[in-house]
Amino acid sequence: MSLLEVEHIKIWDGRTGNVLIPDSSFQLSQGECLAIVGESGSGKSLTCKALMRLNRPEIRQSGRISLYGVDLASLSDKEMRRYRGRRMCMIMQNGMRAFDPSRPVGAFLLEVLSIHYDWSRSEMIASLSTAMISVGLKNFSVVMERYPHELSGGMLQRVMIALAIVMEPDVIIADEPTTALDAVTQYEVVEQFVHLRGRIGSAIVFVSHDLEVVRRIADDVLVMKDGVIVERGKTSKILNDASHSYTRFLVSSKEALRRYYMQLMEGTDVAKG
Amino acid sequence: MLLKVESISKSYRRNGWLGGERHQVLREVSLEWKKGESLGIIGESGSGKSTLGRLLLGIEKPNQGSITWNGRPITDRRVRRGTISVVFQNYVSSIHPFYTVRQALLEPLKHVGGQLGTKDMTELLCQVGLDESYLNKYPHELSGGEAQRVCIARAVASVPQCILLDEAISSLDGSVQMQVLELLKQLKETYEMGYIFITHDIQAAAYLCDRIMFVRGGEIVETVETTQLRHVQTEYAKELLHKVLS
Repeated sequence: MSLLEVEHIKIWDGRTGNVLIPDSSFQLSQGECLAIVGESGSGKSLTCKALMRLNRPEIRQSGRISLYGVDLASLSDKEMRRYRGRRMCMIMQNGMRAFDPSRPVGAFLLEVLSIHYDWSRSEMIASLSTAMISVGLKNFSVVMERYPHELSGGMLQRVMIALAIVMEPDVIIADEPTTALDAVTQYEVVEQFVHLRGRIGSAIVFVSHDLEVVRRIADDVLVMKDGVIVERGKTSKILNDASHSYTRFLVSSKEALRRYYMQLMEGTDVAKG
Repeated sequence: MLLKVESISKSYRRNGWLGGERHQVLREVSLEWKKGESLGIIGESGSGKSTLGRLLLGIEKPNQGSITWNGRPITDRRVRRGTISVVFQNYVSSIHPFYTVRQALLEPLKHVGGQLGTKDMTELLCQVGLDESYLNKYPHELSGGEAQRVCIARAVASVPQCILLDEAISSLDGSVQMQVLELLKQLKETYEMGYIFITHDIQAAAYLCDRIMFVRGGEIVETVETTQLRHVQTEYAKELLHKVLS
């Protein structure tokens, strides 16, 4: 049985009646990593938020989203809150807005953990510090004392990933988690995701527009355009031999940058301009 | 040299402005920027790239050192008006939430002087991959990438001499990234526009820039012409470049 099943979800704006996602279905089995690629505005983030029931109230959705056969729409808000974090964990695109701005990061993290686990403070700190070190945040105690605005976007992103590591959820929904990171940290964070899968068998929905990262991490790729899923298939097939013209366009435009860079590094003559 | 930065340092107080201990963000940074040049500034998160950007824009003052534009201090509003514009990393907070895209595009022109008709605006939006239906939308109706493209269109609208792009294309997806890079290249040729391109994306920087500067822990580690990129000297630059290739 699939871990997460999304059947015919339709998302529309309740005020204007604009249909944002007409009909999309996909499944995710245990330990699988599914990447969603597509250009901005194609409904990637919207789909992720729909899974977590985090869209703004005026955005309506219909269809069935089930985790282990439990229909998420049937849960009360309180039950859903227990699911979020413990069962499904979301790593947001914008780190600045995912944290409580009025409290230090540490206080926030401990609160989240104390809601889901009955660990003692020292246990929580111990597990958080191992997780933080493993995502490359070396001075743990300094990070814990800081307020969100004092940390850079990349650091906040890594704090969120560390929290996901501690929580060991069934599904991790990562909405552009590496976009705000520099090449070195990005590399490390992607490695973290790969480890995370191996260690706790979490399934991952990985939204990204970076095809290099997708190539590294995902088993399957889903290509979205204007709210519609245009193609789904194995990563290697989609990235090397796509059948849909839009997918080919996505792949080729990134290739151009890469090719230019490779030429530059290998020292063949590059026409400037 | 149009823009000249002479050994600037910047530190912030750690716990608000009453806090004691200071956190040094930039140390003795010097750089020069010629008209029409595109300069890439590359570094890890937390390396002080964005702070350097804000200082170059004159919205914050350095603790030491000076930044001059054509010999005049950049902190003077009259100096920067119409000559330097910016696209920030955080697209959410860079457009006034009560403004439509049309108003947002017209805003800088109010200060610089100049006219922009609906036709020009549509053309501008087309160049960044949007269409005229966006003119009457509000920022919350746009996705992240769309908002960022509006910001880029706005920065270009007043045809400044220099645009500072602070992680401006990192939130865009591959195909649009390429489109924006092409647009920037094309503008560079038509208007002799120059860029200061702050990013962590080395491939994009290599594509757009003439010169690349590696920043780490608030210091400039190395500056290299893009054509000489494979001959970088320092370990740090080598490591960064290597990570991309693997």
